[in-house]
This record gives sequence, C-alpha cells and structure tokens, in this order.
Amino acid sequence: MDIGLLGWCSEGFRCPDVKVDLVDGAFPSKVSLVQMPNGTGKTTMLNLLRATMSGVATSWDSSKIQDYKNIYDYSEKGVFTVFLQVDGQPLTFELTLNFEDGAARYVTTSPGSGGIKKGWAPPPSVHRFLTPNFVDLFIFDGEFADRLLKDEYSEAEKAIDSLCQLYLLEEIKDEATLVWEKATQNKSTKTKQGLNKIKKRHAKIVKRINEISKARKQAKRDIRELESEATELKKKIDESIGKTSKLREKYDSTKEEEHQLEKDIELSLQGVMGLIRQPQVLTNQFCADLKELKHQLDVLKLPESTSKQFFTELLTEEVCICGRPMTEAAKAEIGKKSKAYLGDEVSGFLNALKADIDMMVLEDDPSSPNLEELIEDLDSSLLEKGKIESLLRALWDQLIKDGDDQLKLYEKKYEEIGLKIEELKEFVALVDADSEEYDRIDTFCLKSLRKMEREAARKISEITGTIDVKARVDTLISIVDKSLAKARELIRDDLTVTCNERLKTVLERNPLQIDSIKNSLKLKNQSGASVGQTLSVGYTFLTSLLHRGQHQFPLVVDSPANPLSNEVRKEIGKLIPSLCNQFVGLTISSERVGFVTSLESNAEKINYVTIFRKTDGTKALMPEVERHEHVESGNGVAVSGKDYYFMFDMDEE
Amino acid sequence: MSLDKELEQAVIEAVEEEGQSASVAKRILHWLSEMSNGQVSRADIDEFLKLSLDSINVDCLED
Repeated sequence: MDIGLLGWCSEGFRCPDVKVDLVDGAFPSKVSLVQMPNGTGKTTMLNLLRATMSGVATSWDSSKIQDYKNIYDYSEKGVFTVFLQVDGQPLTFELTLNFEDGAARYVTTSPGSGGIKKGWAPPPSVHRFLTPNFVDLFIFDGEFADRLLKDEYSEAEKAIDSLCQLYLLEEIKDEATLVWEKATQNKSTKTKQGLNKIKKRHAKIVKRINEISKARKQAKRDIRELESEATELKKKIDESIGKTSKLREKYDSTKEEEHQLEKDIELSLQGVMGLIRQPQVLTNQFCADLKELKHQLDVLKLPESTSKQFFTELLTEEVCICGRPMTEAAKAEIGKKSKAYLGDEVSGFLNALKADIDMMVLEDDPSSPNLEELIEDLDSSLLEKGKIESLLRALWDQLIKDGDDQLKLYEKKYEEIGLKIEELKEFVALVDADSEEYDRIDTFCLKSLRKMEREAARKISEITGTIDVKARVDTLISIVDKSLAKARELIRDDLTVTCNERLKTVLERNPLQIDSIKNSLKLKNQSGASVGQTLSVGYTFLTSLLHRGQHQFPLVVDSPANPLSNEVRKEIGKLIPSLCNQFVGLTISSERVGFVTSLESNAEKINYVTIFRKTDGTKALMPEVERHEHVESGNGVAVSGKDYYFMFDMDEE
Repeated sequence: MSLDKELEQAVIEAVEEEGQSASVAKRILHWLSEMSNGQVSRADIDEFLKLSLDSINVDCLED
C-alpha cells in the first residue's frame, strides 16, 4: 500500500481559502514545505486534514463544528477536500461542515472503486490506514517523535497498537464480555459449583424414581401372586370345613341371606339416588319457590310469544300506541330497543319451564316414592347387613375352631396374606397418588418425584448453557489476551531489529541503538540522549513502523524544527529524506535556518508553498506576490516557489 | 487487506496454546480481517462472535 498526499483545498473555514498542491508531475512531491505564519490557521488546517482523511468529523457535535467557522467572513458551510493517491489511483475525500445545522457530511470519490459515494467510504484495502488513530501517526506535531521515548506517554505502545491494528483484538474482547453479561442476566446460578449441586440433586431424584418404580412393580406382582394364593387357600379352607355339619348349613344359609340383603340394599340405593337427583323432592321450600315462579309468570302473562312481532308491526304504523306520531327517530329507537324484548326462543323455553313445574311440582301423585321412607328402608337394611356379617364371622370362627390343625394353618396363612395384600395396596396407592404440594425427596409419590426431576433437569440445562457460554467466552478472551501480548512482543522485536539497522545509517557518525520497545523506546547503554538523537530515534521508529509490510505513507509534520537548536535541525533535515517517500513540513519562517538548508542539501527536489491570509497588514506583500506563481482567493494567498518561500519573513500574522 | 503478519502469527500461536483447533484461529482472523476492511455491521459482529464461540471446544462440563 502506497498512500501519497497530492494536496488539499479549503474553503469557508477559519483558515484561508486556499488550494495547496503537493505534486511533482503526476506524483506526490517527495518533500514539501508549507510555510504559514502563526495565526493563519495552521492548526485548523491540520485538524481538517486529519478529519477529512479519517472520517472522524461525523462524530463531532455541533459546538465542535462551530469551532471551525470563519470568524472574519462568515459562510454557512465550510468545505475541505483532500486529494490522495493510493497505489497510483486517485482517492478524494470532501468534508462539508454545515455551521447552520451543525452537521458533518462526506463525499468520497474513488474512480477505481465505486466512483462518487456519499459518506466517508474509502476502498476496503485502504480503510485500516485511514482510521483516526492511524492518521494521527503520520500527521503530527514535531514534539510527537520526542514523546515516543518518554515512558509516561506510552506513545510507542499506542503507535504499535494503532499501526498493527492490535486495538481490534480489544474490540473482540469487549464483544465477548458483552455476550457473557447478556447470557447471565437474571440468572442466579452461574458457577460450576452450583451446577454440581443441582446435578447431585437430580441424580438423587432419578435414583429415588427408579427405586420407587421398581418397588411398585414388585408390589403389583406380589399382590397378584398373593391374591392367587389367597384364592387357593380360600378354596382349601372351604373344602376342609365340615360340609354336612349343622354349623356349616347355618353358615351357608346365612351367607345366602347376606347375598339377598346385598341385592336389596343395591335396589334401595338406586331408588334414593334417583330421588336425590330431583331437587323438588329434597326440600319443600324448593317446591314452594318453583310454584311461586310459575304463579308470577302467569300473573305477568309471560311469555308473550308475539312480543317481538308486536314491535315489528308497530314500526309500520304512522302513530305509536301512546298517540305520538311515529317519526323516523322514534322508529329507529323502537327498532333498536325491540331486540331487548322476548324472542321466540325465550318464549319457548319459558313455556317448557311452566309445563315442567305443572307436571313435577303441582301434581301431587300419592303413588310416587317418598325419599324419607326409602332412606329409612336403606338404613334398616344396612343395619341388618352388619348383624349378618357379625354372625357370619362368628360362624366362620366356630367352623375353623371345630376344624383340624391344617385348617387352622390355612386360615392363619389366609389372614396373613390378606394383611400383606392390604399393606401392598396401600403402598401402591401412595406411589400413584396425586402430586404433593411441597417437594421432598423422600416422598413415595411418583408424580411428585417426576415433577422434581423435570425442574432439576430444567435448571441443569439452564446452568449448563450459562457455564458453557462462560467457558467459551473465557477461552476467547484468553486467546485474545495472549494474541495481544504475543503480537506486541513479535512486532517490538521485529521493529527493534529494523530500527537499529536504519539507525546505523541514519546516525552514522554518532551511532545509537534501541535496546527494547515497551511503553516507550528504551535506548541501549544509556539513560538519556541529546534532542537530536532522541528525535532521530523517534522518527526512525515511526517511519519504520509506518512502512511495515512495505506500506508507504506521507509524513505530515507541524513545526518539525521549531523546538530544535540549529545543530539538531541540521541532523533532522538530513535524516528526513531518507526516512520516507513523502514528507510535508508545515513551517514558520524562523524554522528555515539550519533545517531547510540541511533538508535541501539531502533532498533531490523540494516543493515550496507559502500561505498567508489577506489582511490590511499583508496588503503590502501583494506586489511581490504578483511576481511569483500564486493562487489567490477572497481571503488567502498561496505562493509557490523557493524564492518567495525564503523571501517571506513573517512568523506571526 | 491482509492483517499484520505478526498479528496473524500471534493469534495462531495463542489458539494453539489454548488447546483449540485451527478453525478457531481461522474464524478470529477472518473477523479481524473484516474489521480491518471496515465493512462490519452490528449483525456481522454478532455472527462473527457466534461463529468464533461455537468453534471453541470446552471440556469444562465433562467432569
């Protein structure tokens, strides 16, 4: 990637309206010196240059945009255009700051990649080199190189992170952290310990379900076997009891009596239930109320089956039954209200209800069964059955008593089996019961246990998901952290070697080497260095960094020699042409001494431009300007050429 | 636009140190590369993140 700065054009801002050409034929001039007196708007121009190239102005608020307004000659908008050459292809950004609505807008022109586009839209291949952080590294002031060697600024590390895009790793880390925060919102358990606890509970519940299910199956099997055994035993007992004894005859006849009584009880029960289903039979009050209802319906002459028809016919009359004329409004109201009166369906229901009341309540049928009598009969039958059962039990006991030892054994076994069957049936009932209100793991209720198991499984699934996300996010963050540390180390090592190689040439007479690159640049075998050495190392580091991967960028430096002594200026002037393909220095006239002369003797060709604002104070300069190649606008002048550059002698506007 | 070769190498080594497969490095590098080209929307970020997280193998739930 080779990015060259062909020039810029400014109109409507605090700085003068000028067009600055930095071309040498069809290519960017290798060294350009733009001379502007202090107060001409040099900082404004540099800031606009950075903002136009990096697209950062869309994030500026209205008050920041107002800072760029031309205070001398107000214009509602300012337009700053930067002309670049990227790998031989033109790329132009135009930034418009609207001082009326406080908005920043871009237009990008790239003939090789999409033509004219609204917005800041560099081709993807150049995007990474035009981010705000990156642009700050090749458009800066003269003191920046010095700060690279000072630990407190961490500029060396920042520069590496920006140029090698290590900040992208931080962005991935931030996104991963956000995912974790989102995944754990509203979830109380997020840890492995929490998961293990709920897993243990789930395992216990499953174990309990298996045990209870197995026990239930066994109980059912036992019941079947025991019932079969009991039937066999009962048969044996029957066969063993004396068939011809009087006691046996008495037992058999009583058993028959019990059987008959059971049939009678069943019939009585059916009769009682039949009457209970008729409410008028249960209470006289209900009967009285039904009679009253029927009476009221008769008094009210309800239902009037023709009531709906009445209203329908009324609507066709000219006069209402009350004597008032039937107007359209009255017709509409009557039509609407008539729907609330009785219809055919309601009339039919009321008629049926009245007929039922007549039939069921009013007709007093002496032959109809009486509930009280039926209940009394049922009571006495049940009492009788109790007596017969007691008698049967006594007769049975006696029969057994009169029998032999084997019979007694059968009977004992039969009773034991009966108890066992009862016990097993109770257990099965407990297991098959409905879910309990409270969860307890020692319950026999399978429905409760299954409910608990589902809940525990749901929690496990939820926590597992959360922990899974956590593990993935942690791994990703760890990878990012390690990548960042490794990349910095690799790049620092590589840069140290590259810089030291270049420094051998650059500082040939006064060799200096970089020991390591941490937050700042550390020099080998010395804690400090002269200003010239420091700047030489700083520029070397920066240009080495910028040119990593065979990339070339313009180096635009504000006041490159201003803070330096003449001696150092000479060193830097000599150094710069060897460091980069394009150098643009924004200078004031007092920087010429030492720096420009040294630069001139080391650069093949220098493009000189002098810019000043047209004011009453600079009017006197115009006659001389006319003798040189220049571009003049309403408020500024840009004069090309070495002669005028050296002739111009104004540090302050 | 390719990423800085040292950055690529660092990601590959870090992924290997974490015991993850090369596909994790591939996905992270693809994400970095797209960010570098400046063509990443919110939906893209979500997708890159999902793909990167999905490609990570976690054995923390086995014990």
